[in-house]
Amino acid sequence: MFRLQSRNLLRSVITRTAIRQPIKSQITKNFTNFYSTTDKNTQKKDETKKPESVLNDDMLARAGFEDLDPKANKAEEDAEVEKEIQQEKSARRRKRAQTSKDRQRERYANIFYLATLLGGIAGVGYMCRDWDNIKEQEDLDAKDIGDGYSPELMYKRLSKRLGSLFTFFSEPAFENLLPPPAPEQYRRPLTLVLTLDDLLIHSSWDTNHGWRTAKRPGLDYFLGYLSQYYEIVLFATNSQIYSEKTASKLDPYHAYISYHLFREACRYKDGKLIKDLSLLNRDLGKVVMIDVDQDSASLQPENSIIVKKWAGKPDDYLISLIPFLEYLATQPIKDVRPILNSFQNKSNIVEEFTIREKKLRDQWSKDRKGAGNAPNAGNFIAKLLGMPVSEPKMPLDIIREHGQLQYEHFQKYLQENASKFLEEEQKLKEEFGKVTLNKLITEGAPKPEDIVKVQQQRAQEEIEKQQK
Amino acid sequence: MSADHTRDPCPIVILNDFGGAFAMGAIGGCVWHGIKGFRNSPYGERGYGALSAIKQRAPRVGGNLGVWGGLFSIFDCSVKAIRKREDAWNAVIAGFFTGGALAIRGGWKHTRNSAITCACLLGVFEGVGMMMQRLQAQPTMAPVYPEEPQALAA
Repeated sequence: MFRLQSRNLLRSVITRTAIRQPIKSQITKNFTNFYSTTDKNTQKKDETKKPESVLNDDMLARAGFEDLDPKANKAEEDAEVEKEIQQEKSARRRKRAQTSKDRQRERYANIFYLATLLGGIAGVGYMCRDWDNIKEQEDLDAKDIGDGYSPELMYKRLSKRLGSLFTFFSEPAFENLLPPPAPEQYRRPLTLVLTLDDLLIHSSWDTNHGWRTAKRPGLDYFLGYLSQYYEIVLFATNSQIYSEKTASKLDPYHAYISYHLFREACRYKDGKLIKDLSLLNRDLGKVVMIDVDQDSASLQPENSIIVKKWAGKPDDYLISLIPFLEYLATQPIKDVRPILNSFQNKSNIVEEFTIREKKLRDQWSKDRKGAGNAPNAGNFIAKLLGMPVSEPKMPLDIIREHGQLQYEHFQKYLQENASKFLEEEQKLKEEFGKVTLNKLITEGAPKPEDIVKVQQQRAQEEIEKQQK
Repeated sequence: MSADHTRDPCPIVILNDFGGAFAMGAIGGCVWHGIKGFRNSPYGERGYGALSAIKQRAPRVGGNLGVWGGLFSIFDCSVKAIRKREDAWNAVIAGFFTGGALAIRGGWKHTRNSAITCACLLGVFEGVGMMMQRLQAQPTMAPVYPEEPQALAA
């Protein structure tokens, strides 16, 4: 590289110094033999005699620059010659730009493109084929698209099959998101599906603190109180790896939230993340969903209450939701959907329910007054004896009192046994957390089924111990 | 808000990505050019050869990778802001533009090919990542219910 550069440099020096002066004499003397290439030697001699340059051919040769292009020396003699040389040079450059290797590479590239194109066409053609069997047709939900090779049918089959390639990623990971309902004695009347972000918690970022996550005021009470009426399912919009830790922190004893679901359980369609409640493995008449995004409820809007996103400011919205949800769970109803949809604006459900409740209370006290006029022997005797007559309570209040009592009871139980719960969890973690690489490769990660089996065994042992 | 709390939100993450990619490239370049410099030096000069090769070339590898990472992050953020969606296509589109932008001095043909290649590569990455995530996702299991219901479990 360096050598070539220096040669070019030298050449330019030579052409500048050596050529300018001798031209005139050369023209007169050697004009005839200029074009004859045979007479190189004499010409060179002529040149070497006259130039002032110190760098003659001899010296250059000694220095290792042997093949100086003689043409370069003569180039300025004639414009045409120069042009010719330049043309030749550019042609050479063009040739040099495309070596045989380049040409080979280009050929391979062309072959590759052609193969891709042909492969693509073949693939599309293959996807246009008739249905393989009825099952495929049913799986792709294409009963109205028959066999046959009309362009329309072919296109429809193609689009169905092409779409099914992508549904692997957009469909929920599991067919049934939840295990079957709990045994009768453990069953709560309804299932409550809550989203995580911007309903129960809010995350914000700033330059001073980075990411911070806030719990919504009243969250613990909300979960703790409603867990006696509802099977609470946390259905987060974010992926499991991002939300799992937050979710388990909300409920460290696993006492309130029955199940956690994450983005993997969502259906992704047209840029919308949809939480399909029909996959929950529960009676849809007994499912209430509270979410902050209209899109996630787009499959079952009648089951859902869409509320405003929580922006992280203190409020008591979760607490104010409790009366309605409690009422809903304690009424003997087969289907929650008609009740939910009897509210005009479901995002405003708290206010609407407060008005209704007030009406209900007024009605009740009116009825009470009517009933109070009827003779009541017990009250009458109590009055006679001078005992205070307790005002009968509104059923809603009774429910409320009962719920509160039970909530406090459960809290006490939790507090007493908190250390035991945590210890047990730690034990399980130790047993299944120690996953060596060898074990991971040979046996795979510990399956949830195994963990549950061990848990079952433990519970059995515990019961036996108690019986003794 | 963004899902991943290990990363900063969008405009700032570009800086992080640039630095991260630079560090990655610099460390990788150290290993690569250290070995190369070591092997290509005469006996007796091998340590010095490795060191000088690292000094000369590792920062350049880091810089190249850093530019790639920073550019990718810029495009990723822009695509997110325009589409207002968060899915795998963001990375594919951002990869397409990154590949194209880096190859734009090589002419239209080169730009096009490199953009498509880069997009395909990132598509494969994203696909594999999503597949892994799905395979790792575990079905929710029912808790253990003792035969006798506890008094307080109601």
